[in-house]
Amino acid sequence: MGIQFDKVNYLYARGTSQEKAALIDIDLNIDLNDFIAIIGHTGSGKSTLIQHMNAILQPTSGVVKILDKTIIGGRKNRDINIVRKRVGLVFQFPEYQLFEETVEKDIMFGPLNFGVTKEESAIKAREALKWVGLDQDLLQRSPLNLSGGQMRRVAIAGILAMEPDVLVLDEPIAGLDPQGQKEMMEMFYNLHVNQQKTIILVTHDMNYVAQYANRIIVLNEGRIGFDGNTWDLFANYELIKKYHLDLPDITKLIIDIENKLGIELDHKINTVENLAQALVQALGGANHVR
Amino acid sequence: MKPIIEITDLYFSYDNKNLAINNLNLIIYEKEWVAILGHNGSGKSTLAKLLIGLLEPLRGTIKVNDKILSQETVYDIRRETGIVFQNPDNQFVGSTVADDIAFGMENQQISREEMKKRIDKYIKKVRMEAYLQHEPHLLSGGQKQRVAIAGALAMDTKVLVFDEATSMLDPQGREDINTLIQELKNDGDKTIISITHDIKEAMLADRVVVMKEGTVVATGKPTEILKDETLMKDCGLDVPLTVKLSQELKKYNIINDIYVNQEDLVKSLWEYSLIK
Repeated sequence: MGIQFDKVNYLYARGTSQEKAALIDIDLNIDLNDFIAIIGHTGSGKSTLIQHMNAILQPTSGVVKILDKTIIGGRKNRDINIVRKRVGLVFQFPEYQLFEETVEKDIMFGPLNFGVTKEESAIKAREALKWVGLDQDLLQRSPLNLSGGQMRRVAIAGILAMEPDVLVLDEPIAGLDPQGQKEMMEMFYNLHVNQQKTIILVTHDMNYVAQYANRIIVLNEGRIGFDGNTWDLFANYELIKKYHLDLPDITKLIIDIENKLGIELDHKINTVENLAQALVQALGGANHVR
Repeated sequence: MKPIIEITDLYFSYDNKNLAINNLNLIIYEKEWVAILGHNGSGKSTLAKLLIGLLEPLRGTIKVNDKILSQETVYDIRRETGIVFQNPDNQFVGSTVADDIAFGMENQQISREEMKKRIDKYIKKVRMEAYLQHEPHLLSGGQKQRVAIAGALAMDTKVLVFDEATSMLDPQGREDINTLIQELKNDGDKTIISITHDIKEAMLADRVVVMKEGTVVATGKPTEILKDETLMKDCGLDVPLTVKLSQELKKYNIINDIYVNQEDLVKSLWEYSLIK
């Protein structure tokens, strides 16, 4: 029981001259407890796809099954609110949506909305703040006086406080500095490992995709172009070229070295240490004389 | 080289408690491309706002083209310094791309004829001529930033500041903007200050200035600064992958140096493969 898409189509601006197919015949099966990256160019349909995962958008045709709830395209689907609690969607730049006077109130907003008592919501807020690595002292501060990175963590805590099983993240590290990006990715990984959250990550950063995702879904002009193992994609030069995808920096470096030196290396190497060892081997061992 | 911006003993605070800029001294020379690197909260965007007079320093002076920045000179100085901000959505006022580029010029009472000439020239420069009559909000992030750059260029300033102008863009948008900055640099008549935490962007600059806690902690060529792991880590930044691989390969005596540029690293490996 995860999230299934069965022949899902989605038309934007239906019935107008601007009508456009944003998703075309999407079949997809997402298992719980996975860490998945969704990649593709701006306009490829990534955001439309993930908004179907918690029923913010509903298909024009086809069926989306979200945990035990079935959303049928073209029909009025009732009682879908519960889905939004179990699949937490974090939009791009979520910090723009903070609005309460205090961090605590902002994080409590979601649980209160789903009928959790005030006392219970306050407990959940404290816990969520811990998960995102922020100090409890911040609870009574205005979210608007925090740094950009802290604000984003508060916004994510607001989603976590609803205790979703699945966390869908749209470009969650965009605009953060390198240290902030690294810490945020580690935070998602910890939520995945320690809290058994299913992570679905939309990102342009192939270095982090390579580091954390088990599976990649490539969207291209509203269709699924590739769905499979992360390194099967990055090692497949044909596909990378076909969809004009970016490679992780390390893979680009490997290809550069291969071309200049006329040697062959494993494109699935993903750490500097392993690359150094592969080079030592390819070049005939370490040099002890120099 | 003639200094175009001279910052002396600069201090600034948002709340009169914590110093966002803390005794900062920096000289930027004419036609230089300087990348200002630092993590979020290091004071680099505050510095950008001080440079264009959006914020007023607590103490210290900023001289732009020999004029001291003050309430009296701020409008003159804005004619010397253009800025492109981080968020492409927060800097549009016109209802079409053309109106938007015209906006800054209207404020400076430039003649209609001259305005038209400049719009034509700079829209071509940023390769957005097909979009002149489009509504800005319908453009992609990268396209928006290109229009913002055309607007800044149309002001004909000596200095252009890019305040994390690529950090919200997708890889294609980022590459487009970096190519454009490189072209502006090659044209050779602007001083470019790019505020960034993108190491790849910093690698393209003539000089890197590293900021931490509101002050300058290091300055030098990208190839020198970016290989200093202690410095970079201390400032919440990371060293390029090439530096990490160099360090590993040095352990095996395959190379002797630490390389910042990928081309240099690969060349050194190639030379080793020849003698081996």
